[in-house]
Amino acid sequence: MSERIVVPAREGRAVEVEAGGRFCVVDLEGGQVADTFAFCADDVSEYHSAEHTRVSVDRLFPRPGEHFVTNRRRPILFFEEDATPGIHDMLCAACDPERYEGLGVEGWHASCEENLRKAMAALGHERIEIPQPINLFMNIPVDKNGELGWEPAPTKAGDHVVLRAEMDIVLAVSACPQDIVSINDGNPTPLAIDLL
Amino acid sequence: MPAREGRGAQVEAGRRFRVVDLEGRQCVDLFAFRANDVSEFHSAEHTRVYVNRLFPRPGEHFVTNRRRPILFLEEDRTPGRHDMLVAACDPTRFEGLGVEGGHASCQENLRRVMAELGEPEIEIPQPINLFTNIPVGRDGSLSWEPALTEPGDHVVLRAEMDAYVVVSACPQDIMAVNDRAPSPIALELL
Repeated sequence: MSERIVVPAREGRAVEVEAGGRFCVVDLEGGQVADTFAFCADDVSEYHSAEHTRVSVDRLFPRPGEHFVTNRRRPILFFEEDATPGIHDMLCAACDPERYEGLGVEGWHASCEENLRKAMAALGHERIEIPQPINLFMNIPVDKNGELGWEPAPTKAGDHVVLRAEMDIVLAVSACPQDIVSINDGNPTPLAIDLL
Repeated sequence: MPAREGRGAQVEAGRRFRVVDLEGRQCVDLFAFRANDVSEFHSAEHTRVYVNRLFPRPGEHFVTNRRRPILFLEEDRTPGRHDMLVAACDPTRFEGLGVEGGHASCQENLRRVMAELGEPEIEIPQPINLFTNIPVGRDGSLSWEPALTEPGDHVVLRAEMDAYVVVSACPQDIMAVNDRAPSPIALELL
């Protein structure tokens, strides 16, 4: 029996997941990036770390059967299953107010950083670092010169990944509100977290 | 700066400095923090977005976690291989590589230098790994190759805000990145 938490378009949600707990992150309508974050529930100064994970797996992104590790190099998430075209990013920072300002947006624009802060604060975690996100479904090809491309997410409606918490965690997922750069095909849509 | 150690300096906005590989094949972990608020620091993930590339080219900037330019890459007198993908080595890294007892690490070097500069409370940013040769394969795999630098190879950078600049002569001697012979580097304020 699973419990579904819908993450509305442009918003974020956080939930506690116990060690051993499995969950799906689902792209409900397709073509939507999910900025995913995992913090150690006992001490949120420990969190999933892109740069430590790359060293741990010797690759830009883990494969199913591998782990994401924390900034203390401890496994925090196990990547159990990838029911997507297999394209994800762990190179780019979460979008934030400065990103939209730089893209020429005037006034407020929703961002993954604000979504994360708000979702974590709702669970009582007011002070957090902003980790470099696990950008599920995000399509940032790297060419042989190290140039990054910004392409629409290739996911179809219902595509998902299954992850397992390796310690008690606070999981946060933001339905990326980016609508200037084409990563969400110009149309941010909702996601779901299914607790299995 | 002796092999396996770190040093730092407060560098004012506009000041240029050089990081030199004195004997060749030595990786340097470089960090920059905003001088009056060390919760702002150079950020690999924001810099990649800023330059749309894994590493800036000469004429481009490194930016902070608030997307403001902090370092300008003025000149690159090396074969042009640098890394901004891998974490600083730390005690848990060497433990994982099977080292028993203590081992010098870039994270400890950074903490010590920042504490000496009066900033004991810092985040550990993902470093700018100058001279570090971590090629990315077409399938996204990373390899750990010896640095390609010759003695005297260097980069010239300019601080774009008042900053603490810290460099660590990476003490990694298990992986091949320093050709298993950590050697000294120099930080020259111009």
